[in-house]
Amino acid sequence: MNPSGILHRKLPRRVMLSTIALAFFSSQLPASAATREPLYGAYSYDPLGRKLSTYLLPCEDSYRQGKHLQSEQCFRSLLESSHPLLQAEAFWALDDLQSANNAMRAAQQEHPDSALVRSRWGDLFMQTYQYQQAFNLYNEALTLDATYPPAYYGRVRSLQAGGGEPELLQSSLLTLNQLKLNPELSLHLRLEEVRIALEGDMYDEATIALANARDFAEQESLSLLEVISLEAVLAFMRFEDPQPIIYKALALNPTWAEGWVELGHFAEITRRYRQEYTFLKNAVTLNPNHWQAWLDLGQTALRLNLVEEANEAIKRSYAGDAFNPRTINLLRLLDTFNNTMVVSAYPQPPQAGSPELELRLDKEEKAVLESYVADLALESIKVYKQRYRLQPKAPIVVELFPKHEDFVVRSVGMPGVGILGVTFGYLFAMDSPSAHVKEDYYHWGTTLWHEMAHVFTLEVSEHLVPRWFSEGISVWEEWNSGPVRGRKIPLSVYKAMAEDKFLSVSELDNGFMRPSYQDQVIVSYMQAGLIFDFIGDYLGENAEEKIVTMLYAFKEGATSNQVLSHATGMTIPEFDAAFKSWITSEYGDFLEQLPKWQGEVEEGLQALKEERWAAAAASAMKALSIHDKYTEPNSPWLILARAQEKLGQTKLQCDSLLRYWQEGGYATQPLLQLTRLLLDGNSPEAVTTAIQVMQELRLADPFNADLHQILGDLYLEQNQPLLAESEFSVLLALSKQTGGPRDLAPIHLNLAKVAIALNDLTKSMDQVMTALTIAPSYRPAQKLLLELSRLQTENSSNRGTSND
Amino acid sequence: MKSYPCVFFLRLLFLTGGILSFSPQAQATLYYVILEGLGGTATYTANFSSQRSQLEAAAASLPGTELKVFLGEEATREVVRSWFEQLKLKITTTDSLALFLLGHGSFDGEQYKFNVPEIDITGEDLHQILTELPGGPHLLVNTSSASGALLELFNPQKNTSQRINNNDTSQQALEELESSVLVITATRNGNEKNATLFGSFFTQALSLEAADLDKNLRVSAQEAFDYANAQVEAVFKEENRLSTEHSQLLGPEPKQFNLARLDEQQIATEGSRLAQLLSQQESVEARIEDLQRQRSTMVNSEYLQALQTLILEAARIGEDIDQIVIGIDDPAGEKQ
Repeated sequence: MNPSGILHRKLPRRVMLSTIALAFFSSQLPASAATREPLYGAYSYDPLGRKLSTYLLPCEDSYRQGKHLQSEQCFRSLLESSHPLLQAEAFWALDDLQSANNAMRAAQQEHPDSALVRSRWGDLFMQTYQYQQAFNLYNEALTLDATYPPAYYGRVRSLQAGGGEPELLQSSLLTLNQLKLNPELSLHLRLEEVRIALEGDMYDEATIALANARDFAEQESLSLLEVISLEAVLAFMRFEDPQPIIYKALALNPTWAEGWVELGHFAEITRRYRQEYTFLKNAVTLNPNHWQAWLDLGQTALRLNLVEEANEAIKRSYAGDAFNPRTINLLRLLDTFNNTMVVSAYPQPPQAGSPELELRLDKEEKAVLESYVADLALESIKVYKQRYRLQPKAPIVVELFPKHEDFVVRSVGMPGVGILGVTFGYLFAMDSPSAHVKEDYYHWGTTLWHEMAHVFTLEVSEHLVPRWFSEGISVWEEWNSGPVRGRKIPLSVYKAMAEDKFLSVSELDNGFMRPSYQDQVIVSYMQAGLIFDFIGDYLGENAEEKIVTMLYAFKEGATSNQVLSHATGMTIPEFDAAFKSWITSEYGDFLEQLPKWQGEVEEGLQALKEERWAAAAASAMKALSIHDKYTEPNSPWLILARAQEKLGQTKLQCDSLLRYWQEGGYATQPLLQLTRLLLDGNSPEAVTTAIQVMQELRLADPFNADLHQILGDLYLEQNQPLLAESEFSVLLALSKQTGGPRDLAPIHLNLAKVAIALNDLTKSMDQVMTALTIAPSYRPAQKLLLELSRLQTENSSNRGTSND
Repeated sequence: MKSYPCVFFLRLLFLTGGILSFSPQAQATLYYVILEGLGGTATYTANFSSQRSQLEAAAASLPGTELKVFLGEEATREVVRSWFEQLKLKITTTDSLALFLLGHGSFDGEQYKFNVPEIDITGEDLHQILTELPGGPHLLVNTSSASGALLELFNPQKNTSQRINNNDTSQQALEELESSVLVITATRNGNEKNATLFGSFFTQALSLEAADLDKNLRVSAQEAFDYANAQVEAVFKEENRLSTEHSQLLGPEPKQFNLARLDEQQIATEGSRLAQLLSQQESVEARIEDLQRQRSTMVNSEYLQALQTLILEAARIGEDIDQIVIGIDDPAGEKQ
C-alpha cells in the first residue's frame, strides 16, 4: 500500500525543500498524540523520580485503564502535595497547563540539578507546541545528566516537530539507541519502529517488529494498548477488518480512543478519508476530551466537504487545546470559508438530481474565474466519465484559493508547503491563478485537469490506487488530453534522466513520499507520466482501455507489481528495462547532448543580457537544433524571439513565438506579444490563430486585463457578441480589483456595442449612458448615443407609420 | 469657500476638445516648474531625468504654459528661491503654478528637506514660496521619499487623520481647507523614507489615455494621482510586499487642474462657425458639470434623463465640430 498523505501537483523547485520536510515529518512523527502523554518511565532513572513515581503512577494507571474519574480524583489529591513536581504533573493531567508551568518553575528552583524536572518541563512545552523552548530544556537536562534517556528522547521529538538540524537529530537518535533504556521507553521506541515500517509499506518488517514488541511488553508486564492498536493498523493496511482487534484494546480500557486515532492517521496517509472519518468519529465518541481526535475529525470532515461538521469539530478541539497552531490555522481558514468563499452549482440552469459540479471561489474573483473554471471542469468531467467508465455519485467540488497559504492550510493544516493542488476524493482544492500573479509559469487549467483526473482514479479504485499510478495518470492526462498538449518536462528532470536517477517502478512511490534529493518529487511526477506514455506505446491498440482496466484492478486489492505484470506480460525488472530502453529511444540523443544544449541556452541568455542580439539568436538556434520541445523557463524559443525582436526581424520573431506556443509554451507576456504580432499581420488565418492563443492564455493568466481587452475586441470584430460580452464583463470585474483597469468608460462603450450586435437597444443605451456618466466628454460614446437616439426616433416613427 | 478665477480657464482648456478659441482669459498662464534634485546614483539620476522629460512633454502639450526647469548645479536653494521672488512680481491673480519636485527627500522628525546641491530646500521654504504667490490655486507635486511630511505644513489646522485623500473629496471637507495649494505627495508622512515609485507612475500618466478616465483628452492632477496610486498599490501587491509608500492628495479641485493634454492643439478663428460651436460646447459641458454637482439632490432617473439630454446636445455639437475640423465645410476657414 502506498503511504502518501496527499495527492499534489508538481511543484516549482523553490518549494521542494518544504515538501521534503513534510514527507520527513510524516514518516517520523508519532502517528497520534494522546490527550495525556504517557510518562515513558521518565521517573525511573533517579532516586527522586522513583520516590515521586509511587504517588504518580497509580493516577496514571487509572487513566490508562479507562478509569477517568478515579484518575482525576487521584491527581486532585496530588495538588495538595508539598512537592512542586508532583503538583505540576497533577495540574498538567487536569488540563491546567498554566498552573503546571508555574509549578514546574518552582520544581526547577527547588531541584536545580534535576534532569528529570527539566526534561518533564520540556515535555510540557512540547504539549503546547513550543518546540524551541522544549529543545532548550532538554539540552539543559542533558548538561546535568549526559546519559538521561528521556531528555535524549525529548530532544529527538522537539527536533522532529520543530524542524531542527538533521545532523543533530541523527546523532541524538544514535545516542538514544546506545543508552540503557527503561522498559517503557524501550517499548515506545520499538513501536515507533513499527510505525515507520507501516508507513513505508514494509508490512513483513512491521509484522516482525510488532511481534517482538508484543513479546517484550508481555515479558516486562507493560500495557499492551499501543501494541494492539498497531496490530489493528497492520490489519487495516492489509485490507483486513481492524475492528475486532481494536475491541481487544477496548476490553483492557473501554475509553481507549487512541486506537481509533492511530487508525485514522493511517487511513489519512493512504487517502482513505471516509474510513478515517469513521475511525475518528469512534474516537471522539469513546473519549470526548480527545482534542487531537476532534481536530483530525475536523480536518477530515473538511476534506469530505462536511463544512459545518468540520467547523464544530475544530471549535471543539480549540476549546480543549487552544495551543495547537493547526487548530488556529484551520479556524482562520473556516472564517475564510464563511466570509469570502461562495459556492455555485453546475450545470446551470439546474437539472434533475444532484449538481454535477460545485465551485467554491473567492467572491472577489468569482466574476473573473467562474465561467472559465466551470467550462473547463465540466469538459474534464465529460472526458473522464467516458474514459474511466465512472458516473460520479456526488457533486465534484472544486475550490480555488487566492491565497496560497489558505489552500495549504485547507489541505494539510499548516502553511509553508509548496503544493498547487490536492484531491481528497470528490473534492479538490488548488491555488487560484491570483496566488501566482508574479509567475509566468502557473497554468491553473492544467492543474485543474490534473486534479480532476485524481478524482476519477481515486473513486474508480476506491482510493486504493498507488500514489505513483494516480500521479502518472494525471500527468499523462495533462499531456494527452489537457488544455496544453504535449510533454512539459523541466530541466531538472532531464538532468535526472541523464544521470539515470529514475527509480524502478516498484519503488516509485518512495520518490514521492521519501525523496532523497531536492528535485526528486518533480522527477517522480514526470517519470510516472512517462511510464504511461510508454505503456501506451507498448500496449498499442486499445492501450487507453487497458490502462483503465489496470486501474480497476486496484479496487480488488491488487498490487501495482501484479497489475503491471498482468497488463504487460513483463516482470518488474523486465518492465524497468523496457521503460529505460524506451526513454533512450525518446530522449537518448538529447540527453547525450544535454550539457551542450545547456551551454547554448546559458550563452544565449548571457548574450541577451549583454545585448549581443545576433549571438543570442545563434546560440538559441544551436540549442533548438539539439532539442526544440523545451518550453519551460528560459526556453530557447523565447531567447530566439527576443533576439529577433531586437534585430528587427519581426516576421521571424512571430514565427518563433508561434512555434513556442505550438510546442506547449504558455508564458503570458510572450503570448501577448505573439498575439499582437499576429494581429499586425492582419490575415484572417493570423486572426484565427491569435484568438486561439488568447483563448488558451485564459487558462494560464485570466487576471490579465490586456488579454480580455484584445480578445473582446477580436470577438466584436468577428461579430461574436456573446463571446465579446463575456470578455468585457470579465474586464469590468477585474476593475474592482487592486491594480485592475480603472478606465471604465471604454469597457462600458464596448458592452454597448455588444448589446447593439445583440439587437438589445435598451441595454446598449444603458451601457452607453454608464460610460457617459463616468466620462461625459467621451466622444466615441457621445457618437454612439447620438446613433442610438436616432435609431430610437426612427423606430418610433416607423411604429407610428405602421400604426397609421 | 475661496473662489478660484482661473479654474474657469483651466476648465475651458479641456472643454474645447482640443480646439482653442481665442478669449480674454487665454492670457492666463500656467507656470510649470520642475525641480530635479540630486539623484545620488546613476540609476536614480536617470530615473529622475526620465520623469523630468515626461513633465516637459506634458507642459508642451498645454497652451498658455511657461516652463521652468531647475536641475544640476543650478538647482540650489538660493537660485530657486530667487527665481520665485522674481515670479512673485510677475504672476497675476489669474495665473497658476504647478511645481514638481523630483528627487530624494528626508525627514528628521521635525523638518522635511528636499535634497539639492549645497543647502537643502526645506518644507518651510516650499510652504513660503507657494503660499506667498498671488493667483492660484497652485499645485505642488512632491514625489520624494518622506514627502508626506509636507502635509502638516500645508494643512496646519488639520491633523493627519482628517486629511483628504483620494477617497474623500466631499464638499464639506473641501470647504474646511483654507489652503489654496493643492498638494500631492508620494508618502503619507515623513516616516515613509524609502525611495518611491510614485513619481515614475505619476509622470507616466500624463501621456496615457488610460489615465484620462473622464475622456476629456486632458489628464488632471486627480487622474494622474489616481493612476499612480493604483499602479504603486499593484506593484506592492504583485510583489507581495508591505507597501512602503502611500500617496496623498490634499487641496481644492484636483479634477480641474489639468496637467497635460492628449490631443493636438487646434485654433479656431474668432467669429468663425467653429468658434461659435466651441462656445456652445463649452456652455453645454459647463451645464453638465453643474448637473453633476446636483446629482446627490436629484432622483436618479431624473438625473440620467437630464444628463442624457445635455450629452445629446453636446454630441450634436461635437458632430458639427468634427465636420468642420475634418474639412467638410467652414466658410470662415479654420487652421490647424
